[in-house]
Amino acid sequence: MRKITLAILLIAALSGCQKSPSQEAGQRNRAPLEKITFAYTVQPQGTLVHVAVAKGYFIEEGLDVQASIHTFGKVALQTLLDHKADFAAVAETPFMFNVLKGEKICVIANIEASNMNNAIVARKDAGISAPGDLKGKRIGFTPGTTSDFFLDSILTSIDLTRQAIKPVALKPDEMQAAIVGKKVDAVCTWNYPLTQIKRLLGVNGIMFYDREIYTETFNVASQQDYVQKNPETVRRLLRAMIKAENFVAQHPDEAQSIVSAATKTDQDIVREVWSAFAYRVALDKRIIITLEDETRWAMKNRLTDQTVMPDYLTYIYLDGLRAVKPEAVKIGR
Amino acid sequence: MITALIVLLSAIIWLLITTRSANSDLQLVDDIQTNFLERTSLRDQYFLYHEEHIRIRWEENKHHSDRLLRQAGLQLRDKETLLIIEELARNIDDTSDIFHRIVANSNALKSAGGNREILEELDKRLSSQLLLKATLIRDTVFSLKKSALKNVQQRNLQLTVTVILLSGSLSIGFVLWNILLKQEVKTKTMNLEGVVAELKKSEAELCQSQAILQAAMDCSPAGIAIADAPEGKLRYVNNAGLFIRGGNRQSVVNGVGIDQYVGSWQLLDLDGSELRTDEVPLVRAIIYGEPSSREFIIRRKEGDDRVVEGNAAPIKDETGNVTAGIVIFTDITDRKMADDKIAASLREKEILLKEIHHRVKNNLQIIASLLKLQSRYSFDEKLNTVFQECQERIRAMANVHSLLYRSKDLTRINFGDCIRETTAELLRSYQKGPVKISLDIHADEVMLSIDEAIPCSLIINELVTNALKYAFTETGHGEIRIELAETEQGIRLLVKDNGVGFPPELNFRETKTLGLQLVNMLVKQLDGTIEQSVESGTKYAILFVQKHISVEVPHEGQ
Repeated sequence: MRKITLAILLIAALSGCQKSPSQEAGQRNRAPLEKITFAYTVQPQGTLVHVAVAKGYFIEEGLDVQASIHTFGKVALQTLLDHKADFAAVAETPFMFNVLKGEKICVIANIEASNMNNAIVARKDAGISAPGDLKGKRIGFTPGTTSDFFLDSILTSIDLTRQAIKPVALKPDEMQAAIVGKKVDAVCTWNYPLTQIKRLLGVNGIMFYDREIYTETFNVASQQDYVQKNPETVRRLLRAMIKAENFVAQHPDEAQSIVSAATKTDQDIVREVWSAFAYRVALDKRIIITLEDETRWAMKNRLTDQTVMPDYLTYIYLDGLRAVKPEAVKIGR
Repeated sequence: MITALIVLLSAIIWLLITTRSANSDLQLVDDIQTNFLERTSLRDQYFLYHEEHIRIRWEENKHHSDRLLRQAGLQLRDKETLLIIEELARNIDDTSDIFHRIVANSNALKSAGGNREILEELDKRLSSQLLLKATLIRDTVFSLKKSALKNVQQRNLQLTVTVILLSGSLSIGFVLWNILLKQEVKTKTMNLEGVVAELKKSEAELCQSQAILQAAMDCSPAGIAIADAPEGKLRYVNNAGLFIRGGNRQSVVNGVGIDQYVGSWQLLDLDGSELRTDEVPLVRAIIYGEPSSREFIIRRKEGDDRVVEGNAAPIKDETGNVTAGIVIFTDITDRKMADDKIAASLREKEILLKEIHHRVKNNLQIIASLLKLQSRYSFDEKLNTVFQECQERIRAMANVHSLLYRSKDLTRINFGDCIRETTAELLRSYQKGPVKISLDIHADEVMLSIDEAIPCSLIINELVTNALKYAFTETGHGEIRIELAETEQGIRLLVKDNGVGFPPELNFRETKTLGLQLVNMLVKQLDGTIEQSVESGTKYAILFVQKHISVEVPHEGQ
């Protein structure tokens, strides 16, 4: 009986010695915050980043995040490439193009996936009322982005090629003015501009999408040498993102308000498109399949000089997420 | 302990049920996984051969998948798991849509013309998306499997731990029960040992008490005998008893009855008559079960008589039945003889005292007679009056002695008798005028000693003489009332007449007449008080407290 009592006391004492997660967070809080620059966008794909910032999860993890906010991921990634940011939130397409250019970058986590975010919105008064009507029409798109890849994909699905249309290269913030000003008949883009343009066109607008031909991913990317040198920073950032993921799952209404305020977008629009996105911090085969798929597309359409498929597995940094949420890593070496 | 066992048993039953449920869930998830893998295989086969029967099998597999997911929706309880199942179903439906588009595109390719390249590109895109979705489904299914497996492992672990806890509890309970049992046995043994020790101690004390009692009885100067009831067989006779009886203890005690024990004696009552057996105290105590005490005479063989005081008592059991009787008999022959001597001496002294009182009375009467004779030779009226008064006073004292020697105890008299005798003589002496005087005496039975009787008798003599001489000067009827009573305040003596009344100018306490001076002096001697009142005559009220009367019997030689 005495031995049992001693054992219980010992276990209790050892339990008391262990640090609880809140204690660890408290200790990190007492340490000076580590400054990092995070380049992200005002798109719905960046929801987890907005929430992590708004809820103070980065600070909780000891990170003082300097925000570098952009209209789309390609620009955010460029900030990373220019060494003006330590991390960037970007879709897989710009990432793929920069890998093909030889940039030593890597994805540390996928933070969003959607097969409903990309679409073509067209003007009916331009004679477009069915997908086939796009033939010969001026369609605005943003080269080097998901918009570029999705445009070809949807054209393929309606038995067309890019040669059958008149592609017009536009930046996302130029799309609205272009279609309203009838400089283009349609635009191939993403949210929130997509829904905003559709609303602006009203009954004159029509939207074409195909949820079975493309799945977009949005990812946190960084320089390979940076993650190698700062693994703890990566882990802290990922822990903050996971907290944001849990918050979004448990408090979607509040998360929508945060995103609405952060992106200066009507909450109606935020709520309207909310269900099109899956916000999860994960690393699975989808990113590799998509990257390879788009690489084949880029090579075939001579959008890159590369002719050899890169080993994208080497462009995925698994150790960070594996350390903080191993069950979210579904890619084996 | 029993509650803990019930709780543990309930927990085991609950865990058995939940473990079975978890195993069933695992089996279902396993089926979903197998189904998915089979569909993946069929998908690959179709991509390779584009054959219709493979597509049909793929469709059948999808239907089976739908059934499994519906079953999962009904069977699985965890909210999070149900959300995963919903998402899984959505993704599988998506793959189905994509697969159907691939099939349609394949068919289109069979008859493709100029757009073959586009259709081939679309096939790749769709196939890529199908792979992508399949990856998602695979990951989800594996997660489900892992979760279900973990659940089963957890249940098994819980079950194992609970069974171990139950076994441990039972073992600990058994050990504790054993320890408690041993402790209880030890405690009871110790208690029993204590009781035995206490009994032994009590027994030793009892033996010691018995030994003390035996020794006390053995050396008691009084004879002690104990006989069993109802036969009256002797159980014990002490040494003093043997001394009175004679013989040795063994021959006397063993089986000898009381009748035999006393057989050699003649038992007589104090008056010399023979004592019956049932009058013997020990016999009475045994027969009647009550204490008995008696003095009697033992006339032994040798012919000498011993006066014995026997005190017997029954010995009863807890139900009140007489089991034996005990008698303590004391030889009081010497004491009796001493008592007789004292009584004889007392009788002699009483006779002597009576004789003294008688002679004092006679002498006083002689003195009174001498004074009377002397007065006959005197013609002086005043002197004769003095002689008469002296005679009356001496008679008053003689009356007391006369009553004393006639009384029972020679120390006290009924003073009412004294009042009556004294006043009767006074009335005879002084009632010579025309006035007819009557005496009215109301006297309680008040016993006075000689020290109180003589002053009181003299007071009565003086006050009644005064009344007879001075109160009644006219013709008619006079009355003298005398009251004697024992009150709470003391003895109250009242002398009252209905005469002319004491002269108001005189103070009876300071008068120069001998009579009243004597009265005041005698009252003082009694430590009493006297009050006079004059109202329809003269009244004297005397109150005194009677002193304690001690009768001292003079001892022999005094």
